[in-house]
Amino acid sequence: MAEPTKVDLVVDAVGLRKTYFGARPLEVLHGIDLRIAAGEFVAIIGQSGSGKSTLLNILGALDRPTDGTVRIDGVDLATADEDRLAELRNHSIGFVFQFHFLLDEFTCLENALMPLAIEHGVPPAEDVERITELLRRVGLGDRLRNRPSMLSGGEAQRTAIVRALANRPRLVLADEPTGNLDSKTTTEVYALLRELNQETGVAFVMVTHNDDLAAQADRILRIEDGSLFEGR
Amino acid sequence: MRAVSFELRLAVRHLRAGGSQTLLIIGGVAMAVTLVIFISGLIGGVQQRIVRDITGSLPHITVEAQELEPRLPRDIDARFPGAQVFADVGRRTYQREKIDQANTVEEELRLFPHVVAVSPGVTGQGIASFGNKDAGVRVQGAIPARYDRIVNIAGDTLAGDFLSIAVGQCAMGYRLAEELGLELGDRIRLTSGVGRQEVLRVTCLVSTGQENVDDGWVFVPLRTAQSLFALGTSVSAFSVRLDELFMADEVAAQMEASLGLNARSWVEQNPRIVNALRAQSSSSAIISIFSLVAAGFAISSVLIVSVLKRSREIGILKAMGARSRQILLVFTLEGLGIAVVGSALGAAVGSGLILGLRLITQPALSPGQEPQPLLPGVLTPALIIGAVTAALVVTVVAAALPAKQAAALDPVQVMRGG
Repeated sequence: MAEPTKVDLVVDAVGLRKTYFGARPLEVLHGIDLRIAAGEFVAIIGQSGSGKSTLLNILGALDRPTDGTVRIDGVDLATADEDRLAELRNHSIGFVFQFHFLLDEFTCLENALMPLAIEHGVPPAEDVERITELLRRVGLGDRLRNRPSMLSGGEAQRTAIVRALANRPRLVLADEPTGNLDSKTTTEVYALLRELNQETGVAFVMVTHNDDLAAQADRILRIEDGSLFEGR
Repeated sequence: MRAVSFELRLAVRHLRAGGSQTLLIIGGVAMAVTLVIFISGLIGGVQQRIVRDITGSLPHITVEAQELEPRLPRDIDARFPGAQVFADVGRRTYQREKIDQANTVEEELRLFPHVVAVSPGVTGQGIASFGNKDAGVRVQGAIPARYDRIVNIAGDTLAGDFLSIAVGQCAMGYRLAEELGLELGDRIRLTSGVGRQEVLRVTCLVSTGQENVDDGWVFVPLRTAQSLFALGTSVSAFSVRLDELFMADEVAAQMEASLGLNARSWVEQNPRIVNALRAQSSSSAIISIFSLVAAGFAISSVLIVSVLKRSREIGILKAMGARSRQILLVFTLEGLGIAVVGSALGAAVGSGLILGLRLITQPALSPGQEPQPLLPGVLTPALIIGAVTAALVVTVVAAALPAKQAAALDPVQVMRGG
C-alpha cells in the first residue's frame, strides 16, 4: 500500500505513551507510533490487557495520552479542551462497541440519528432521509420504529454501525463489534463494515479477537505489552 | 431551540421510562405543595379571621393625650406626717389630658403614611339605666359616618340605622339591650364617669360578634359625649384606620414621635394574640419548609438512582459527542419536569381542598351575622405562586447534585465497567 500523504492522515500518533498513576504508576502504552489514512481498514489484535482498549479510547478522544503527540483529524488531543474533544467525537469519530449500547427509550431510527440530535437538537430533514435510507440498506427498513428490545443482536449491531456513521465521521472505532454475535451474523456485520468503509472512504479501526476477520483487513496491527507491531 | 430540544426529549423519555417511579415522585412533590398551600392557606385564613375579629371592633391606631405624670412630692399633701414621699403613682381620675385643637391634630394625622380614615372621638366609662336596671358601659362618642369608616358598625346593625344617630339618640350592643330589657325606641339614662347625665333614645342595636361591643357598648354622637364628659369642644382620642394592618406599630411610633401624643396600635393592645399569630405563622413556615425539603430529598435520591442506572448511557452519549453541560441539563430538566407536573398537581389539589373546606360552614355566633366557614382557608395567587416557586427552586437544587454527578461521569470508566 502506498505511503499516505500528510493530508490524508486521520490518525497521526507519535511516541504515544499512557501511564495510569495509581499506588504504583503503570505504563500501558510504550511510545506507540501510528498513522492511519482516510479509507483504511485496520484491524488491531492482541491479548486481553495488552492495551488495545486504552489505545482505542485515546484514538476516540475519550482519553488523553500521558506523553507523545496524537492528532485525530488534525486535532491535537493534548491541547484541545473538553468542548473541542466532544466536538471532535461528534463530528469526526464514530464508535461501535461489542454491545450495541443503544438507548432503550428511543427507536431504531432515533438511535441511529443520536449523534445528529446531540449536535443539532433536531436532526436536519436531509440527514433523517439519509439515515433512513442507510437503515433500509442494511435491512432495517421495517424496524425503524422499533425499540432496541425488539431487535435481534445483529439488527441492534447494524443500527449501532449506522449510528456510528450518522455524522459522516472520518474515523470509526469498532471495539470487538462482532464479539457478541453468532458466526453467521458476525460474517454479515463484518461484510457491512467493509462495504461501508469502501463506499464512504471512512477509516475503520477494528479491535478483534477473530483472526479470520483481522486477516481480511487492509492492515493488521498487533499490540503486545503496550507496544505496537505491524502484522500478526 | 437547538439548545434544549435534544436534552428535553431525553429528559422526557427518561421520565416516561421511569413509569411508576416517576409517578410516585411526582406524587411526592404534589403532596408537599398541597401541604404547603393547605397549611399556609388554613393558618392564613384563621389568622385573617382572628385579625378581622380584633380589628373589627378596634381602630388600627388609637391616638390619645399623654398620660399625666405622677404627682411630685411637693404637690402631695402629707397624709402621713414623718413619712418620706417619693412620688404618687396612684391613678388619678381622668389620667389623660384632653386633646384641644382637634381639627389641627386631625389634619396632621391624615398626613401620616397608610392613613385612610381618622375619626375624632370621646370615650369613657358610664352607667346605662333603664327602669330599675343599671349596667356598666363603655361610652363611645363619635360622628357616626366617620366612625363607621374606622370600624364598620353599620354592617353589623341588627335593628335601626347606625349612620343616622343624632343628638339625643344612641346605639348599643344587642346583648346589653337584652340585659337591660329594653327594645328599640326605648329611652335610657346614661351617666358618665364625671357624673353628668343624658337621656337618650335607643335607635340602633348592633350585633358585631364581639363580646365587649355586644355586651357593654353604647355609641353616642360626638357632641353628646363631649357634654357627658365635660370636654367642651375637645376630644379624648382619635381613631385611625390604615390601609395596611401590620404597619400599625410603625405608624403609631411615628405619630408618637412627631405629635407628642400617645398612639397605641391594635398590635400593642393585643400582644398575646399577635404573638400567637406569629407562632402560628412560624409553625406554618416550618411545616412548609420541612415538606419541601423532604420532597427535595426524595427527588434527589430518585435522580441519583437514575444517574447510576443510566451511567452507561451517559458514557455512550459522551462518546458520541454530548458535552457535560448537555448531560447536566438533561438531569436538571428531569428534576424540573417532576417539579412542574408535581407542583401543578399539588397547587390544584391544595386549592381544591381549601375551597372545598370553605363550603363547610358553622352557624353564626350572633344574630344577624353570616354563617362562617368552619375552616376559613384563604387562597391567594401569591400563596399558590409562592408554593409552586418554592417547589421548583427546591427541585432544581435537589436535581443539581445528581445532575452534576452525571455530567462528571468519565465515559471510559463507565464503559470499561461493562
